[in-house]
Amino acid sequence: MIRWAVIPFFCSAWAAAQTYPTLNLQTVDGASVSVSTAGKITAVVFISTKCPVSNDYNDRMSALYNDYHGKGVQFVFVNSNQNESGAEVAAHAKEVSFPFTVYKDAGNKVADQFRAEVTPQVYLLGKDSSVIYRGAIDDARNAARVTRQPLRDALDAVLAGKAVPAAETKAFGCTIKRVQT
Amino acid sequence: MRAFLIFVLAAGLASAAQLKPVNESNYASTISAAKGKVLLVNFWATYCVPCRKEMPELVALAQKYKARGFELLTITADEPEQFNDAVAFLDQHRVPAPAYAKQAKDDDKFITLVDPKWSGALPASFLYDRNGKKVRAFFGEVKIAELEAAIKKLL
Repeated sequence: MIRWAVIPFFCSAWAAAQTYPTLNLQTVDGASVSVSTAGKITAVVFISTKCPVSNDYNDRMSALYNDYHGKGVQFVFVNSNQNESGAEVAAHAKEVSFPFTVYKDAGNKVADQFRAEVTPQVYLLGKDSSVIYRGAIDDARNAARVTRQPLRDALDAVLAGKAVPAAETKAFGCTIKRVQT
Repeated sequence: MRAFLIFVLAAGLASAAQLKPVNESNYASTISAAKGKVLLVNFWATYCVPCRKEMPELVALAQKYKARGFELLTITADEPEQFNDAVAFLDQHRVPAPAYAKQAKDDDKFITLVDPKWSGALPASFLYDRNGKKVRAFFGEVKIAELEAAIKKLL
């Protein structure tokens, strides 16, 4: 049985200048896909079907998608956990009525590229495919206790052509279950 | 004679000048123009590894079933800066002309118009019957045997 540790994650600024123009992922059926981020504001969100923290954000993630997808923001929801199958991801998405597509990340390669550590964890990319915000969706697992929404703040800013108010926050959640090497 | 043969061969392939724009306003008419044939619309891009991998197999299917009324229509999602590379790839793999380039005014609207269930990830292929009705969508690198069976069913 997997123990889902809830840990804080301190992001580093190592990849500030790195770009991610193409994300190579898989559909829940296992088919390979490429997602282009070039010329688009893209939110890459690492999520889980089993992590209780990630699941507490299901409704908030759906709301984010519904609020910003129509404004031209591309969302790429990624499940990099190697102990969660495509079938499980598909069943979970259906169960919680996600309005968006969730991709698998075989070998957690995309998680490795971003150095993502937990779920949920967000990387917001600007139109040049570089990271302009990384970290948490908001500041509280319990939606009733949210006081700050740094992802929404960043999205509103970039859509208005302004600099994001905070480029980095601490993501918190469950560790991504990577392949054993 | 040799020059004539080169011309005839080249005429059947895509070239830079032949990348036709497709967008919200002409996608439906582009599909309708192929009525009477079974049509596979394949969205691809040069940066997309699985797209490049599956293209030769799609071309082989197009050649195999051309006489029975099957047609492959490719639409690249590349940016204009990559069009030359896209055309070089199409030429290299002898992809049937005409080839298209997605140049939508609103990308999200165009993607939804093609298929509401499509996220925009590549490759994506859509199979239309002889009446121009979409009958199957393939998201991600297609399983060729599965696609071939679907095509044969419609021919």
